[in-house]
Amino acid sequence: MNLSSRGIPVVFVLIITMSTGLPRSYPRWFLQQSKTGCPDLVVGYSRSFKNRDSSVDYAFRNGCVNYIRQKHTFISGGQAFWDTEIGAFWLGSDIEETFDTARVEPAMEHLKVVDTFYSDHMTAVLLSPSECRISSTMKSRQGLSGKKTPSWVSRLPKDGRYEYALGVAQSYYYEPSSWLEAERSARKSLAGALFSIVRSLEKQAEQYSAVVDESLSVHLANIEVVERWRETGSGIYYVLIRMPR
Amino acid sequence: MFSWKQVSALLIFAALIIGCAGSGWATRDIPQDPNYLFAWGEAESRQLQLAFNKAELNARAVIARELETKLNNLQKSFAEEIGAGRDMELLTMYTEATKAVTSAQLIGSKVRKQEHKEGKEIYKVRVFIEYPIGEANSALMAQIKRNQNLYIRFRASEGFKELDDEVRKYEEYKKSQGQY
Repeated sequence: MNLSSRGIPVVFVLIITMSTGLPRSYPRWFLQQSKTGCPDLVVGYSRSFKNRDSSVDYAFRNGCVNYIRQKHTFISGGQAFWDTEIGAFWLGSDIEETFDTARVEPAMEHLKVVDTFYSDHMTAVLLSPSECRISSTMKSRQGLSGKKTPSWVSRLPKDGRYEYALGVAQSYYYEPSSWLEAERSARKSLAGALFSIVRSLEKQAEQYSAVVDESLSVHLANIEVVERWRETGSGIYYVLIRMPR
Repeated sequence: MFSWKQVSALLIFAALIIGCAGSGWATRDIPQDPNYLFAWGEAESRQLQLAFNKAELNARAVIARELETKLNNLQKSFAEEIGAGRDMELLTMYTEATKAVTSAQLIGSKVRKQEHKEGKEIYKVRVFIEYPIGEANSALMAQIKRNQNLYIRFRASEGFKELDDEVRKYEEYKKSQGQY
């Protein structure tokens, strides 16, 4: 095949992009979940298996767990850092989320699949507890490359009705893990914003050092995902969530 | 062709720009608002989430320090005489040790901005947090009262008493100003 000098880099970029296996576009309901117009929506994730039905089934189960988590989650535990002149060291964390797992089975009875997104590495389902029809625009795909990073990635929205929090995750081998980690990180951030106990002991003699400890004990209720974003360059995943005040 | 003077001027200009770039972060301006405390927290880690956690906690620790810090200064100074007579040299060694203990309950410390940069196998993160005081406390109290579980836990704490006192003082101030 005779490739022109311009064609070679294009093909090269295409090969690199395809080799990552990550989708270059997502349905709008996935990226802008709060704009679908239906209340109480939730997204479930799964790896994509050869059998598409299995992928959807796994994603549905994950969506039901996420639904219960969004309705009510208790976040508790703590984390500590040791700050020195050469940097901060992590002393560990026992922050954990607990939710009523007994409510997952009943949720599976009444949640319905509104739409499904299938790519080589990830399957996502949009679930709703009520009758919900989303427009074809919301079902259409939106590309990520070349798009401007949304402003909420660096500056959180502020309004009188909701508390907002941002979650971030780096790229894991399985894409669903990245999205789930970003959601978990957002819940932790929201809990920290609502109530945290900060204790520290600083010592300054010949050298400075400090131990900083944070404890959390917070109930989160009726959380919803507002938007999602993946930075194609750095491979960082962002999820914006909110909770009514 | 450029003359050596032009090249030198360009080099100096470039050096000034690089010098002014500092850590590479954008401005670190902290707004002035009597109803809020603000703090930037910075951290770096090979794990992105860990870097964010550290940065958030650093910023919260700054706010907690502003709110409630018990300073305990231990200062020692001593002089040592070395030698004798005219060659006597007075060497004063001065050591200073400071301990600061902070313990604060933060309710409503929100992340407003966050930025990150990728270095060589390391993520650098900085987070800007705001913490409501003054009038914002009243709204917060109303919000907390709606969340019964959290409220019961919170009522038993010193933080509640402090916040309650502050809100009461603020409401009395508003009354005295004829704002009711």
